[in-house]
Amino acid sequence: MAKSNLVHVTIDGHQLAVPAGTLVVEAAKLIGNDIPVFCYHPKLDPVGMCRMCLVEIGTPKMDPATRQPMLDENGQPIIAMMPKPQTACTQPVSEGMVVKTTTDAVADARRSILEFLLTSHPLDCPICDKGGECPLQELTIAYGPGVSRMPLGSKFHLAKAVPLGDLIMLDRERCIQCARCIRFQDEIADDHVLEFKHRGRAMEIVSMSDPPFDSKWSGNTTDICPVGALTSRDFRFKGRPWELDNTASICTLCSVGCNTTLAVRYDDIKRVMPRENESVNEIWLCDKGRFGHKYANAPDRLTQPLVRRSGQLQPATWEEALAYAAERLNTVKSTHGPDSIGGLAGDRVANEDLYLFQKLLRGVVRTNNVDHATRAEFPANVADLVAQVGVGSGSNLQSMGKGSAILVIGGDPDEQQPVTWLRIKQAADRRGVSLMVANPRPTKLDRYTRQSLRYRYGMADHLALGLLAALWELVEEGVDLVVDKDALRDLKRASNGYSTARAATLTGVATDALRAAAQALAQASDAVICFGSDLNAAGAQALANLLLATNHVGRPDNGLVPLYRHNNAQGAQDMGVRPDRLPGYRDLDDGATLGDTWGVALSNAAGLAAAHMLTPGTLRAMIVMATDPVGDDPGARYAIQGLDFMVVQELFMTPTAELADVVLPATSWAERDGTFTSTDRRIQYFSPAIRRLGQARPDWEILSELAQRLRAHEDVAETAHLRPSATRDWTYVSVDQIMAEIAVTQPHYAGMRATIPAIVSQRGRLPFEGVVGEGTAFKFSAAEDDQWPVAAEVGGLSQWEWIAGDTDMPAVGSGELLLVPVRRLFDQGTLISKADLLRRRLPGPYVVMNPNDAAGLGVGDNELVTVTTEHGSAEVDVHVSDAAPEGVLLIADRMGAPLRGVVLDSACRPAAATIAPAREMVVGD
Amino acid sequence: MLSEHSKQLLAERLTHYPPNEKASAVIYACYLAQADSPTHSITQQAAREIAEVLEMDPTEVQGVIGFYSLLFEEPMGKYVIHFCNDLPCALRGADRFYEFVRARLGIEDGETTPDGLFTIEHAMCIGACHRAPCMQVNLEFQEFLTEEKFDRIIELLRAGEPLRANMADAEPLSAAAPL
Amino acid sequence: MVKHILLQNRDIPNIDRLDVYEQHGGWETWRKAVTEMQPQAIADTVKASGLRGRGGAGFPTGVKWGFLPKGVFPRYMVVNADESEPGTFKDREIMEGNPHLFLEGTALSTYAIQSNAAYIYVRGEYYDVIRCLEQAIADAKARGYLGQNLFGTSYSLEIYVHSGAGAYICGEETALLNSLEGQLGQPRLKPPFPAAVGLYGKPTIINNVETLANVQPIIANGADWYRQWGTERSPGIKIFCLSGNIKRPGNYELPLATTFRELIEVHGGGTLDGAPIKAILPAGASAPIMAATDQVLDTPMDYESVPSVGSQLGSASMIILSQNDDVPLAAAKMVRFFRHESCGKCTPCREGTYWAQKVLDRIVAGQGTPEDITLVENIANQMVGRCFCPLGEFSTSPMLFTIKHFRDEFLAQTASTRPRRAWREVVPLRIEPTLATKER
Ligand SMILES: Cc1cc2nc3c(=O)[nH]c(=O)nc-3n(C[C@H](O)[C@H](O)[C@H](O)COP(=O)(O)O)c2cc1C
Ligand code: SF4
Ligand code: FES
Repeated sequence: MAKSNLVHVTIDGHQLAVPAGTLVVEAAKLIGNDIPVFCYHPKLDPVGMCRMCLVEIGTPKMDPATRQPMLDENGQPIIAMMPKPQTACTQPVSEGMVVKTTTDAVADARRSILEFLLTSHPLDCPICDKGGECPLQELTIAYGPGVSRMPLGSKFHLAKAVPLGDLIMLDRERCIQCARCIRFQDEIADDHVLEFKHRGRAMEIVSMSDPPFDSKWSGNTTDICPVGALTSRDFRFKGRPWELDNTASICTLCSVGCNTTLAVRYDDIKRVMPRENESVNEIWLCDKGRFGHKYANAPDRLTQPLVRRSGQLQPATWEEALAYAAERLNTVKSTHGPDSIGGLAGDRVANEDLYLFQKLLRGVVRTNNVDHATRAEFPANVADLVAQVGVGSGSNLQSMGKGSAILVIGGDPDEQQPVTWLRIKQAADRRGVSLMVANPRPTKLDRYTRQSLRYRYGMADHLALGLLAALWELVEEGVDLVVDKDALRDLKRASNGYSTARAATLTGVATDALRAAAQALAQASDAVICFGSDLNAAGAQALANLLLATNHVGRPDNGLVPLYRHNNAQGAQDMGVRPDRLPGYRDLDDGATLGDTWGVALSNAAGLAAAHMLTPGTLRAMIVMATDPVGDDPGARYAIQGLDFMVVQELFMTPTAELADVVLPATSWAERDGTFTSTDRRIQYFSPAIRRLGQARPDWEILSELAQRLRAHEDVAETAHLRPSATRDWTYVSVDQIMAEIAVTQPHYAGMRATIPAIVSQRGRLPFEGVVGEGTAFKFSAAEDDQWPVAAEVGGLSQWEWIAGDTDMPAVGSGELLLVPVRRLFDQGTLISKADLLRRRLPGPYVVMNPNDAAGLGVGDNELVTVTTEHGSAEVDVHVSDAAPEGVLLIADRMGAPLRGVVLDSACRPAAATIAPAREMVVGD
Repeated sequence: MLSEHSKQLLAERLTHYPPNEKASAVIYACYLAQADSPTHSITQQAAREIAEVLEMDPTEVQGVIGFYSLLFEEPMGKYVIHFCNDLPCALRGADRFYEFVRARLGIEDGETTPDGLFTIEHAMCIGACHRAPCMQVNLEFQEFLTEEKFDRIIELLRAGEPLRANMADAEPLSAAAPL
Repeated sequence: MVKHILLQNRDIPNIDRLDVYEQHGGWETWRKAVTEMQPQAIADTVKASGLRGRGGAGFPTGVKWGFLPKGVFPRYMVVNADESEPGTFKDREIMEGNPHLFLEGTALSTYAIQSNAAYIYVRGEYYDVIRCLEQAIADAKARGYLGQNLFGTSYSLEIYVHSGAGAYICGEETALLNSLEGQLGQPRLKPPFPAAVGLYGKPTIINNVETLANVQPIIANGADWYRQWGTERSPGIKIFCLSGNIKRPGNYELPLATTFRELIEVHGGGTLDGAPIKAILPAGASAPIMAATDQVLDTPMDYESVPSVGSQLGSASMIILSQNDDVPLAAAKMVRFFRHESCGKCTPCREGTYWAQKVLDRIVAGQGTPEDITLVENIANQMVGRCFCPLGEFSTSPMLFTIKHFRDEFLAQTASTRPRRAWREVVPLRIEPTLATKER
């Protein structure tokens, strides 16, 4: 901030210089003066309606002739105090301003406003969930009147315990009409589902949406409501805030990595609260993250090891189960060789688990047959591209403003990563970032863009290639762009005559639109590209090239961000849970250092990818950790049934676990510690919040135990030259120890370790100290340098590449529609379906159909139809809406009925479908 | 539900406002819905319909209905009588007259007659203080009320006769003042 | 000789009809303005006339127009026809009786600020007025006074009527804008002021009906002509609304600075019940009540003199109370009005009006204590200077000044245990005052 932009203010005698435009209430905070507020919230536009923040304000008297401040006899500026008190929350500072917050007039104003607020307040603190962390309570104690002059009989009464939505209860009597909730919904969530109804004292919050309070963000209103009017149905009457033990954690339900606080009592998670981290989730959480925690304490959690005896999975001791698993795996290995064994991991578990998992397969089993599920969802080159040109470390969407650009392509952050959606939306909507949205169907982000690039299904790659071609065409036409012209020329040559015209024909997006978007990207000061799984390798590479060519790499707020599904997809890639790369994206041929650290010789034969491992007849034994291939695709059953042996580490008895020979109960994230790496490569530590359930153990511990039992005499002999250590002997006792080893073997993580202990100590209640008005989020900012640097920052950028795009959509005949699976935030995933409250939000099987198609087919809204593809047919409801483009049927990729393997293939690809009326159902009585 | 006629009127009305400011017509749309409704009120369904036409959220329409005194969501009588008993009228006996009105209709303030014809509500000043006692019947002014005049109004309404033609104020405006 | 300027309907039958208005030179000023005058010339004349806003605040109209940011278009003219202050009915008579005079003034003003669209926000209760205005606009349009390319020039003007739906707060200009935009009629934070960011975020001028009606005669006759009435700082003529306990209630168009006494005694014919006048509410419920002393009665009614005797001219809606009228009951009525009309946005107004009404109800029901009187004053003092918009501040007048000037009456009510007093029975207008007095 330039010096000239600073203005000087005096607050209660303290002089300070703050940037022009700072609100008095914020300036006061800088000197530790918390002016009491109710309606004001730093994340919302000031409205000045509660009048709690009244202060006295004066400005220097100006000489009309000289336009200079007039001075008194002591040479001090004469201050003209304004006749009325002013709202500190709406008043920006100005040069020479004098603010008084300790005068009798201010004290009287505060007491008056509190007395007014309390006249009709029910004063039911003893039974109010907010009691103990309630701004109204705290400010009343600090500034309010001691007694009530309002007789009880005169109080205004409104309805209490009104279900405002599935997740939120409203007590209308406690509401102080600050409109924070309405304004949050309008300004931040952009779901205008709350409003004041009636006026004056009768004013009350209502929601008319269908379902009521239809927003993915409803829980946040309970945090910022300054009284107990809005409470979550999850936490209602579950405990008093002061009885809760709060632990810093990380949300596990998508890959944003929102910082959370788990509030626990008697080993039960009572609520999940956002923990402030301005570079990740600010102070927000989506409802999935807030209410989806129930799986940790679900009654059907596995709590003891199971071993298959006489065809039945039966309880066993850990020793029995581990010894049995090791013995069977070793038998397979000695009979059929190490490559007859494969490991499949889920990318929900911690880095430490994932690292040990691949270490177990590579260093103990001695195979590269190790993979995780996300690699099937995204093109194979994504992780490598991210390692090259992922967003620069220190990135923060919140710092992007006018002049910069964001391109969202082939994905829908609103359903995939809500907080990413929120931050992109804020950037575009509130701070003027130019947003481009490329998607075959309309999404909620389209509201904030002037450039919607609506490409045809299956043509995401060509859209990306078209943008690249647009760049070289613009350069050839002499448009002045700061781009790498040589590289573009090379790419053009390699492209074999590719052009925007060709891209336009394929995608249906006009060449002008492609050029405008490419130009906007090239001219942006900073540019971020968020992309989803619609892209294939060619498209992903093209996006990377686009960033490279326009020099939007290697700096904060520049680069690629994938919209990964699972919370640790990035970590799984970083840890080398993939058949073709070692930890740190090293080639299999490059395994010497790793081998030296581990003390073993590593195979450099490429391993099998997940899809291959799940092809019948490929493997003899499998180790499965935290993933459910059979649940995802019933077809996977055939490969697994053909195995000699399978061990599964799981939280629940999944369809995969049901087929296992040994099932080992793992702990959830809440019962242990570890690190997750977010989609923008932030390594974040989470602490244990509750005790382990039954005999469950953390996955890293299970893996250590298994490895100790698996290691044959040869292995021990081979590593004998090393000092005894956890690394050598698999005697890990903490995740810290494992992270230390990761930092050695995965150089990207080397610099990161230091930040971890600092986070460990964040335990206990850390509300917004002092600033009681802001809500009940927990304050804590993570260290700045927790994002590992990509090649574009630290060197090692590899060659540019042109990959030709393919067009892989199935042919859609006349009378057929294209059935496209799409992500929905609330789906029927294993974890989320444990949350009773969210279950109401889980859709049954339905398809979204364009109104024109519906009219053509004579299908009405909410009608039951049979969808038939080459794979099979299913009965589903029809929702008629223009959220589906013409000719396309949208279907949630995980719903009540198993669709994959039924109407969709095992890879969950789009398919041509026909629609017929459902069979007449006979309803008996 | 909005009638076809109302939809047409609403579409015409939208030409009064810039294309992206459809919400400006919300009060007008609510009046239309109210006029179309047999119960003189705006049903949730009508509110949703208005929201859709005006590209608003149904909750916002609900807020508007709740805010203004002349928009009703509860069923009202066919004739909504707003009787002014605000200060200027009260100084001319309006409170006493309102007692008579209530007794005549046999209902209390805010109630509807059992036949569903009349709802009476007291009103804040309606701008007819100089012609007190005064009231509005479905927003038509009825001024200089006397007991006989009130009875006649009720009689006409019961018979389904229009008031405007039959009750045109014969009274001149109050005395002219010379400059 | 023309006796009225704004209330021509008093002198010329059927002046509300376009043909009659035209016969009296109607719309000619408009034709001349559009074809021969620059917008600035009109604005300058209005400024020179010293015309002050008739909506209540009395802000000089020409000065207000000057606040529009230069070169920012489009701009809007919004006419405040929300007229909801108790005891105010002047705009209604202008719009019903002289719609074309008003529309011509609106057209001239809209042209003067270089806008092409004016919205007239009429309170929902004025359904009859709305129909009348819509007819007048249609007629004027049919004769080419409004619409595209007026009189063959490039200037186009549309005037739209927009109905409110019953909310006094929508008379406050920013609440009016919110209401016009389809939102809740709650006031907006200022700054930005409407002149900079108004309707649909565009520069906007908001003027009262009577203010704009004045513009036609001012442009037709010149600033000096207008200044022959009133005082240097309050020039011109004003419509005074007379209501309450008065023999001849109604609108009186008089020069500004006419005395209260002349209005009440000469024009209004004194109190209806013949009792001595006790108090005057010079601006409806919003401004302090005044005890009708000789000093007050002899005060000229203009924007400077009324404050000098402790109240405001406001919209000049005079409500008269005689010695027989009950001030605490009047206070309760007025506070009831504000409680009913409080939009609920800010705490002091929302809670204060509710609470004060509860206490006043107690007092007028004979169940109050002397401390309750102090409590009402406390509540009001806790509100003064702390509300979001003037409505809340207005509401403190009936709490503070009724007690200030008539404390004894309040004390008398708290002292007694008699049941709530009924309001005086109906006294239809044309019944002889003697009869009314007798009936009481
Ligand atoms: C609560 C409140 C109610 C108001 N009601 C009206 C009204 O009904 N009519 C009106 O013209 N001005 C009303 N005003 C004044 C307007 O805000 C505004 O000052 C006026 O319309 C400006 O026009 P003028 O400059 O022509 O007077 C009201 C102000 C407040 C604070
Ligand atoms: S519910 Fe809470 S946040 Fe919403 S207006 Fe009421 S007090 Fe404010
Ligand atoms: S008015 Fe400033 S915090 Fe509410």
